[in-house]
Amino acid sequence: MSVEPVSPPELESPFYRVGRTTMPMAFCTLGGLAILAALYAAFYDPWYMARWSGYVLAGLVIEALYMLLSTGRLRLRSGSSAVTAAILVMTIPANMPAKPVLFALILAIVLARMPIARGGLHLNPALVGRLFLMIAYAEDIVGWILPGMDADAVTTATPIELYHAEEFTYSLRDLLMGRIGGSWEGLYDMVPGGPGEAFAPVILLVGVLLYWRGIVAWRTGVAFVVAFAASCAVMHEPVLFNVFSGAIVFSAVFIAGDPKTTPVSKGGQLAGGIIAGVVNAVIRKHTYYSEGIVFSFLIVCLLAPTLDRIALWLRSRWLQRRRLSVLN
Amino acid sequence: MLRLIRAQWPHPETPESPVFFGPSGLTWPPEAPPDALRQPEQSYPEFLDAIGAVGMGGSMFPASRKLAASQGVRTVVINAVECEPGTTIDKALLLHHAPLIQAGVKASADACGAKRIVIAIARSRNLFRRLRELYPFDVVMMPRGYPGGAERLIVKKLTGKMLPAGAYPGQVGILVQNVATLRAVGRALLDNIPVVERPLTIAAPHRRLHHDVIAPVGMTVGALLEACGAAWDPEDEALIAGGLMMGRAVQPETEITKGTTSLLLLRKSALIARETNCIHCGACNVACPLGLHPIGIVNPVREGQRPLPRVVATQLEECFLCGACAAVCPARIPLVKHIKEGKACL
Repeated sequence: MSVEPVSPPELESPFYRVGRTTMPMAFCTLGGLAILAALYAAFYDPWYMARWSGYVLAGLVIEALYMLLSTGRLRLRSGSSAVTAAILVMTIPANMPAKPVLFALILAIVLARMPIARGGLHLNPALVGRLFLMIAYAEDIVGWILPGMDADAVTTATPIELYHAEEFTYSLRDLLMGRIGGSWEGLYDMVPGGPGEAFAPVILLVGVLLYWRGIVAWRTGVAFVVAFAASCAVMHEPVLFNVFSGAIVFSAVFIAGDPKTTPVSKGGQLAGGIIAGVVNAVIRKHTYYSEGIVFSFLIVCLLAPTLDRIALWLRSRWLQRRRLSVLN
Repeated sequence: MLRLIRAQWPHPETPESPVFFGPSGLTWPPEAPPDALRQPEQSYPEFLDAIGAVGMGGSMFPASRKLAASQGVRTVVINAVECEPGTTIDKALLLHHAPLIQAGVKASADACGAKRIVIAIARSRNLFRRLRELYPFDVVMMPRGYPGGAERLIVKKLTGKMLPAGAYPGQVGILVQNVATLRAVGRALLDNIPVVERPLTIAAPHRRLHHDVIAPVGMTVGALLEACGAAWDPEDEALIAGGLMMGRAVQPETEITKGTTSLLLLRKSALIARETNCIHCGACNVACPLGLHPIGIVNPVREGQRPLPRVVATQLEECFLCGACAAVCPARIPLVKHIKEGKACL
């Protein structure tokens, strides 16, 4: 008589696992962001790295305190708050006062990371934090001034605002090398924005590295850039200048690569990327905003559950049709 | 594009001949009786039932019923892809028991009217060359990695069509049979020994232990390990039968069945994974060889939606529980467990 095997409850197949768990994934992403922060510090602002590290640490402390209050245990949930803090800080002026940034971090980490609907709707926490700063600290968020610069002459970080107002295009080579600087007609001193707006080739390289290590998915980011470039071309805008200025490349890697707030399904990811790209191009061309990353990706966050449901439905329909065609 | 799981598990590309291991007091390997098992008046499916032939790839589906559903097929495929990491018994049999396998597959091909015989292996130039010397059949190479040996993927490779759930390969003109099954049939035809032997791999990667053995069906796992000199440490090690990806934990008292393809000794500490919240990375979607949406179908199951929506049920029916989704999940969500729960609700 055969003996029925007793399976210990904690041992379930598969017994082989590949890839990283969530916390190492978050810290790999943080490593990629640290490279950009270090480059920015080396080229423009020696104290930037210290401030950046402080905000990242603050993000982890806020997450740990939130976990203590909500679960009674002082521990980190996934370490992704550090990534949220790092992304938020890299999309705002380097000289932004600390108080608003900390307010934004608390809002982003505590409130924005909660699902706001039963369907699993998540808003990108870094974008929520930035939206808060855009509304509550509108003056600070456009004050792209480096220490020691004459405030009367400075108006713009990277050339997209100037392009938006005066159709001034910066040299593409300097844009790619991250050499943002100089002035225009003695009125505008151009300064590098956050590290998220400089060193596009390095950001791309980091993105490829993160994809190769299985940390970020490519579909949303690639669809976003392609759709944005195509939209620019349709609207007779300089494609390369638009793609490599502002935070397009940074968003393609770190905002579109955020798994929690973008669609899960392959089709949904492509659709989400296309929507973000088109919306961003339309905002750049037809509104008073020179950049529309916050709005375009928050729209994708809102649409993500619906896009996933549509993808699931389409796949199931296709499976049903295939079954009928083979079985009959 | 299909992305297969490539496990880092040291094992020989062309393994040695499997060794017979039996309990003391039993004549092992069994002596071949002079009388033929196959009676002249017996049909081939009746013969398969008489010798106790079942699918020895793990399913243990009666071989006669599979053959009955495959009448008129054009091609018989010897499935030696053996994608479960660390398992090498099928390759060992292919290389060292060629006459038995040839006898088994020719009998199957004759019985169902197939004109072509194909050997499917995982990509390996050395094995390909050796098999071309040993067998007069075509050899098809599948991509290396898990679950490259799944029947539906082999059929897709040969016909270009993915079989839907509920369809048999016979419906598209193909019969897929496992190496061990064909060897068992050949053993009955040539040596008059019914299906009483189970070839399997015994491995413990942390001890660098790897044996391909042939054990009696019904022998206990503990006795086999003892006979092989692979003592089990119950404190630190788990006993897994049937492979890393689709196997199950067993005890030393568990008997070897005709479907036991491998016995693995694995460190318990490496097996216990703490589940965390889903981060929506979509890795499960990318890993699914059928292009299903594992997390999309698991969420309604976990939320207790009953009856399950039609779109979810359709995908649950398709899933063949390979476990690729759960293996790549960074949140270590037991997706297979939830999919099994969902399948039980259909």
